[in-house]
Amino acid sequence: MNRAVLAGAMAFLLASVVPCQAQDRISMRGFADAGLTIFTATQSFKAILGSPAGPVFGGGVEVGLTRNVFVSVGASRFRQTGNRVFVFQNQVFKLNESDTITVTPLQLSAGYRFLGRRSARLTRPPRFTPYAGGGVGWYRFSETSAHSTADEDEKTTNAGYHVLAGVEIPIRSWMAAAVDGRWSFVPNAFGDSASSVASVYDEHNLGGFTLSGRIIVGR
Amino acid sequence: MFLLKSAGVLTVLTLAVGIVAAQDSTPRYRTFISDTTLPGVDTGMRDKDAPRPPRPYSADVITRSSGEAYLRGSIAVKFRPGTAPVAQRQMMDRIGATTMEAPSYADFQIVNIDENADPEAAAATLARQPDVEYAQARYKIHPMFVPNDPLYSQQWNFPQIDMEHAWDVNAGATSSIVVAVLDSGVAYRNAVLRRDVPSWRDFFGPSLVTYPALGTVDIPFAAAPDLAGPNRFVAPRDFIWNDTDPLDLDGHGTHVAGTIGQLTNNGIGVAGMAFNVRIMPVKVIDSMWDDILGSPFEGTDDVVARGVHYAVDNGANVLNMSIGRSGAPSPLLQEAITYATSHGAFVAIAAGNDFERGNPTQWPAAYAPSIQGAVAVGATGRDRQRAYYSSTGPFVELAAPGGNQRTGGTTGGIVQQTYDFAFVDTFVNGPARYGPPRFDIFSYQFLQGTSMSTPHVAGFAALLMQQGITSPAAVEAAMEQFATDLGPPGVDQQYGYGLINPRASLRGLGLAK
Repeated sequence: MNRAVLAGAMAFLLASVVPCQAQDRISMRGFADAGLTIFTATQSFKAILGSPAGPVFGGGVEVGLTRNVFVSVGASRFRQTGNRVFVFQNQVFKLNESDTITVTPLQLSAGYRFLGRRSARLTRPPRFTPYAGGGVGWYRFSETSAHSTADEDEKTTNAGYHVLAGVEIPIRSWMAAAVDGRWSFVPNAFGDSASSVASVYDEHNLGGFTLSGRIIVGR
Repeated sequence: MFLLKSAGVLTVLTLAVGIVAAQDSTPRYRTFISDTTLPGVDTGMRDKDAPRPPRPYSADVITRSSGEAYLRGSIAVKFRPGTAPVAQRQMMDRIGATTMEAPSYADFQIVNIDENADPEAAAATLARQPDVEYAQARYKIHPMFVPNDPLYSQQWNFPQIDMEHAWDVNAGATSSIVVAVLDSGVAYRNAVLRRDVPSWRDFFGPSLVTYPALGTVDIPFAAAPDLAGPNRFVAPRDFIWNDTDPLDLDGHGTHVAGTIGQLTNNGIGVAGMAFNVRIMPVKVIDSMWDDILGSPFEGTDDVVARGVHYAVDNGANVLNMSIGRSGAPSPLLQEAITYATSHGAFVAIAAGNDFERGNPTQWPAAYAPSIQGAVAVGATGRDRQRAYYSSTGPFVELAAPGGNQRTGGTTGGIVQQTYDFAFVDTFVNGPARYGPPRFDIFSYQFLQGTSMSTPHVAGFAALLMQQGITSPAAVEAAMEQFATDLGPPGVDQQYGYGLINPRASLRGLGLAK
């Protein structure tokens, strides 16, 4: 599955490059993210990790297809250790059994920058550049606990989609910062197992809202 | 200065002891002449022994009361709060009651009635009074094991419920968990009891045999070598002799305690479920030797209820009740078990061994489904099928290994260390070979019964509490949710929710799996 995801990502990048060659200007920038994800499966994550939210770190590459349109591929990682639990009558009992959750989204996005008129851009770079878009992604989910066997570990990759919006702020001619928010939807990712707290809460969506600060490097 | 301080402390202590002694007016019924004896002797596995005849319950042999299912001469009554003493007296007069006692660790009274009066009728008369919460005869409680033939095999019971992997998750709990064993006592310490052994008559044997008096004998006790350890036992209490020496004069309680917490990974003997817990021996059942030696009390509902209250009040987290009876219900026991669960203690109760004796409803097991945090436990054999004796009914909630020697042979029972019965049951071969017992010689015995399945669940509960599930009701839910379904799909009357699955329950729920 990893290879398939990587192959898809490469194909996407190559496809992006070809039309770029036809443009008067090709931009390719790299970025690094640090942010916070609040998972849609709020109760489930809160039960295991003590909070429905946690830090994510990631990075990726963005390719400008036109002056306004861009595509990007990015990966991030969420990893937290909590405890397995038992839930009885809405009371959560934390067990002495550590449980580590890792979520690794790989997202392909396309977006539009709201740059305004070209003449304005020529005289002075805009101070703020809003953008919005959406895309698809593959969300690798893994869960392992202190004494689990290989069969008891969970490793799945689920497809999902997302929408995004943000604001980019130029810092240097070759560097910018951005605040990026994206809402991902990964339906039916978990909750079928009898030993799943997600099943108790009837939560099956691995998606969530991620708010990130982004540093972008490149022209 | 030090001497002055010491003298002061001594004075305070003396006064304190005096006050305690003055408050404790309970008579002592026996005296141990020594707390030190030689260590217990381990005679090993008794798998080559000839089969022993089944050991009868004491009530079948010694008719020191009536030989009936209850005691004569008294009933247990609980008046509603606020009932005036005058009104209580009037109600007692209706049944010809003479006196009333308020025993310790009880919120009910023992009302003494005429020896010839019918206790059930008297209790029914009182129970109809609006100021009476309940009234019942003092029914006798029995251990829930089927006597077996002592041979040897291996502990198949733990692999059956995947305990090897469960211990990976929780290695036998810790000493912070206290499991009370409400039973015939436990071989928990060394002692020598000097006692006059009178003659007695076997009324229910093949012939009316009289066993001779043995005179004054010294009876040695020793702690079970594979069970006892430093700080292993806490708050021992004997409600049969009304003292703090709940020594086992039978072997049943010691076997049960072994399944709960036999020392493990110590290089000897066998293993137990929760081998790091502390054991609270609470003696509420009388055995043959208790009766022969003239214990002042018998194991009746009210005695068991007091034992339950005592265990809870003294910090037990889990109560094991490998005991029970058929017959009339016991609101007294129902209330005691409710008291236990409402005060944070989980209760495991034997479902009974009477399937082939008409399969009557068993008490207090039948109360378990209505009390969250109390579980009635049936028994499986080595073949994971219900054992032939294991009572069935809507009250059975879980199953655990209890042994089935009909299909599995002698070694199809549950093996644990207890007394070498050859030195205890000296009465089984008639008066000619009758002699004083020894409670300092141990062997590994195979027993079967829901008595043996229940401590698996009690030990399991101890592990779950150590693991973090502190509510008795949640412990029960965790056991039931992850039980391995046996028999007809879903909950049934043979296995309840199924065979316990400790590893799965101890792991609980992950986010996705």
